[in-house]
Amino acid sequence: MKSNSLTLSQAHKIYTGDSMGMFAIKLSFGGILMYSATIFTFFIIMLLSEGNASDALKELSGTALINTFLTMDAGIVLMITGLMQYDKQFPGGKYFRTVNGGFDTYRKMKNASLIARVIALISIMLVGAIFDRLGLFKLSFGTNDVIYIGAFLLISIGLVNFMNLIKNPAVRGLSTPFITFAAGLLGVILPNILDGKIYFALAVAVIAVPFIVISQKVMLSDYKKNKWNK
Amino acid sequence: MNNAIEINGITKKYKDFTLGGVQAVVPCGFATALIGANGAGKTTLIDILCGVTGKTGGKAVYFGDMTDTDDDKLRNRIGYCSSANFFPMDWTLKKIADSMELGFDNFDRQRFAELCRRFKLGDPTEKKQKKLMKLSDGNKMRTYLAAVLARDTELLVLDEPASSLDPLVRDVLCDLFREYLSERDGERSVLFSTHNIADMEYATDYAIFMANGKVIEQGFVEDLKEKYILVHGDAENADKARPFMISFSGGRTGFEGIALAENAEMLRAYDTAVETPTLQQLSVGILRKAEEDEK
Repeated sequence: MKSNSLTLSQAHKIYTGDSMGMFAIKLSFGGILMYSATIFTFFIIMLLSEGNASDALKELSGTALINTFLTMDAGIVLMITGLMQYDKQFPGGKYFRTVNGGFDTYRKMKNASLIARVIALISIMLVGAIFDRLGLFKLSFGTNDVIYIGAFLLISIGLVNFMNLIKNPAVRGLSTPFITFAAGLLGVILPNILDGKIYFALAVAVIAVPFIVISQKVMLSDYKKNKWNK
Repeated sequence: MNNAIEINGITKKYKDFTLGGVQAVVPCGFATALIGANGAGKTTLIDILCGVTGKTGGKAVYFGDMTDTDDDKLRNRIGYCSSANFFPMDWTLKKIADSMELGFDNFDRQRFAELCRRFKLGDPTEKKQKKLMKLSDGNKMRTYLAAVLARDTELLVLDEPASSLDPLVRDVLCDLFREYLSERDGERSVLFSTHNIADMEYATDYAIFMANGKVIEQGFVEDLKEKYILVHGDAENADKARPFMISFSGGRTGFEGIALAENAEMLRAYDTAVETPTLQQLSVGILRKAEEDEK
């Protein structure tokens, strides 16, 4: 396969064995499963303390707890996949440097991974919105909360890209969760301050798009300069 | 085209190691062994030649006129594999085939399946497959070799391919080199690094010796065996013979070492026995001399 004819999805398959679509499905499924498992666990805990299901649901619904679960679970999925490394000393690192396209294929793979992460984020948020609409686990401000959380997690995708610039793996690994969740939790707190008004969330989502594009470019150019051929 | 690769003064500087001005050739149509102690710079040189590591200076010319390791045309002519963790450890034979089919122009899935069968690795089309992390080191290396040999390349560059293989498979590896070279007589070449010199001697036509980041000797094995001699004699003659030898090891009963063939007559005069060295003996002698010079 000629490198210039490689699609983003094919470049992703060279690196991970999964196409971009399959990766997006796996990520979405993983995130939804994590979110469902978290709220189910807390539902069981509430059930044990309240004694019946409807009281347990009432206790959980409409609290910031559900918003926090949604943020944390989606944030973890985005963070882990955003920090994936393909350095030379890691398994496969040397192989990836010899495939057609070289760094161009790496760039395509990273862009495919970014798209898959955004798709996964949208999917997880959709499930959060569906649970709210069905009245299963209500969010404080309904669908507006989902948009707030989604917008700030989009910002965190860009932030994770910037965290990749940190050379020390321990510092990078320890600081990234704080940055990711700090950004994500703004999406939990701000609706309460702004009374759930959606305009701010939409503005953040609009800003997040160029922010992600710029962070992706900065991260890729740093990787090429400091790691690819070192 | 006489050389598959001409290496002209390649350098690479790290904080604690320098690969310094490497001058060497990898002749076309032959198997070349890169021999040296641990830390001599073999892997660094191989990685630079295959575009895995960037160089600080110098140049390598491939197949007479190609110099850019980022050029896909060159990438497709070189089949490279390293000994450790060449693929992600959660991959199976199928994932390797899927990735390589997209990653190279010349990967042949059917040939890969044949090689997997030959190496007793199983069938890459089977549904249930073992992940690489579950395989022994030897089987991992067999998998890497099957993958790289399933490509239609003109130059194989293998870093320590024999290190984790058992003696029987090392023998198969030598046969594979011979098959690879004879399939397109004179057009294909092999460059491999090794510490298993005795086992790989049958597959070695040309040898490049490295020590401390430099090439210290190179040539066709047959020529080197004419250039150097293996000398051994009784302990009483050791002191007289030693000045004419490039490497020397002795005990209470006798001594042995490598000397230049031009000193053979002189050494015979000290009642020594002179023989043609094996590549293993030659390597030990040349590398020991480099070690002593460094001190």
